[in-house]
This record gives sequence, structure tokens and C-alpha cells, in this order.
Amino acid sequence: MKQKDIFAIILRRNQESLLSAIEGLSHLEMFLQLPGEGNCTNWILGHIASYRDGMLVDSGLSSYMQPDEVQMYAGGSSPIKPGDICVDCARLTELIDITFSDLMFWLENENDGLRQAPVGNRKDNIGYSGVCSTLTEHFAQNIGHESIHVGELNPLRELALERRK
Amino acid sequence: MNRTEVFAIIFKRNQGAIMHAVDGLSHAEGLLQLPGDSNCMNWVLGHIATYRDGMLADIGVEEYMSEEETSLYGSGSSPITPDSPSVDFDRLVELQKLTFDGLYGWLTSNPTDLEKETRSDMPFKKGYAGYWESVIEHLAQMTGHESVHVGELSALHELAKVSMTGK
Repeated sequence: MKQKDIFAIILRRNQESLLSAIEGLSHLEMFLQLPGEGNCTNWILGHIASYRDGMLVDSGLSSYMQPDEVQMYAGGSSPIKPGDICVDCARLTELIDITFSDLMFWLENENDGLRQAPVGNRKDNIGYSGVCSTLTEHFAQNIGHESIHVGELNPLRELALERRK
Repeated sequence: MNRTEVFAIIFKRNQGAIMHAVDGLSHAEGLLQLPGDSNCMNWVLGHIATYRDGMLADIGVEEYMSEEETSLYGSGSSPITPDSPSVDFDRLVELQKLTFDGLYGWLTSNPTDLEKETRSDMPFKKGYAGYWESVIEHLAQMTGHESVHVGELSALHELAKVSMTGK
């Protein structure tokens, strides 16, 4: 098993958990808020998508989010609440699908690409783009980061299901 | 960066998030329940510790959990409630530290036996010990599994903070 296989296994697990957590949820249900200061599903999806965009940028691939979309979901960005300007949940779901497909394709076909230096610029503030010294480090840091945010979706799904009762 | 360093980075992130989530909480706060069918913090911590102990078993490093403890926190186990048997919160926090130290210490010791087969002699079920073909596959699958459960702790930490504010 190579490094890229480790990343592919975890990324695939993340994608499956994520899609399971949002399956059948409406746009409005993605703004529900648990007690305290946690983020809603909309913010988490945008955050994951923007950090995946950062991996694509550093890998020399095309990214998908507009700069204003990326900043809306950057680390430390403001919470998203109903009525706030935000990316539509249908577009976020599409971004989650397409970034996953591109990253998996790249991982399956890369030949020592993980050893290369990231090509992004940290000034653009796209996830961890331009932050790490190698792509391997970027992937390790961000896939771990992403998994934790995927886990945050589970209690939000339970909240949505509970509200339907 | 080699393969073990990838796991070390992710475990270190997880451990940082776990210790942040449990900081200052009591056993009772570890049993607080979010809306719906989510698990409480006690169950999530016990589940993480159980699966880490399974990884320790497969790599041949000291394990820390008894059969009685692991039986409460395996996959599909019953929810932990204030009225059900559970492991004390302080012991669960201690287990996070012990199992992390065991795994992180092994991962940063430049181990060469990542491809070895997993154990076939487990005396009782403990996480995924003995399930995957190789140690490295076990680590890859369970590192991702752990991180997702670590993410579930964030909302439970927020719930505990709200509960403390209301007292």
C-alpha cells in the first residue's frame, strides 16, 4: 500500500460518510443549528469544498470555487445563518462531488506527484494551499482536517431528522 | 514524509481535538445527549479508545482496555445513558492519552513491519484487531474512522458548555 492509497481510503470514507449525512436534507435543514456555537451543515460543506479546492490548486489542477465563495467558508469565517448570503446547498453538493472525483482521479494516476512542492500561493487563502512544504504534507493535514468536519455532520443530520417528527 | 508520518499527523490532529473537547468536563457532562439518535461523549470516547486498542493489538504494542470495557463501546453497542453501565469519564480521558502515546510512539519509531499480517489470536473482539489483512490497511481504515468520531465531539462539547452556562 502506497501513500496515495492511504489518502484514497480516507478520502473515500469521508465522501461516503458525508453523502450519507446529507442525503435527503433540504436547503433549509442545512441551516439548522445545534446548541452552542457549532456550525450548520451549509458552512461545513462549503468549508470542506473550499479546502478540497486548495488541494486541487496545490496539485496543479483546476479549482471550482469563486474567490468570494472560498472566503465565505475559509477558516475563521463568520457562521452561516438562514437569510445570510451563502452558496446554495445544491451547488455545494455538486462541489463536493466534483472535487472528490478530481482528487481521486489524480491520486489514482499520480506518479510521485505527491513529492512535488505545492504550486499554490497562501495569499489566496484557499484552504491549506501554499501552506505546506510538500503535497504529501498538505494531503495528510487536510484529509485529517476534513474527516473531523465530516464527523460534525452526523449530529446535524440527527437534528434535522428529529425536527421532522 | 513516509507512510507512518501521514498517520502520525492525523492522529496528532485527532488527539488535539479530543483533548480540547474533554477539557474541563465532568462524568455527568459526558453523558449529555444531543437531539436525535446521536451518541453521548462517553460512548464516543470509549469507542475511539476501543478501536485504538485494537490497532495497538495488531501492531504488537501494550493494550489498555479489558474485555468488559470494550464490550460497552464496540460497533453497534447500546447507547450509554445515565442509567446504563459505563466507564468513568476520567478513565476514558486517561485511555485517550495512553492509546495515543502508544500509537504515536510506535509510528514515530520508524517501524518497518507495516505490511505484516494482523493478529489471528485475539482472545476477544477489540475494534478491528485481526480483521484487515495487513497492519497498514488497518491503520488507514481506522485513522479515517477515528477522525469522523472525533468530529462528533465538537457538538457535544458545545452542548456541555451550554449546560454549564445554564447552571
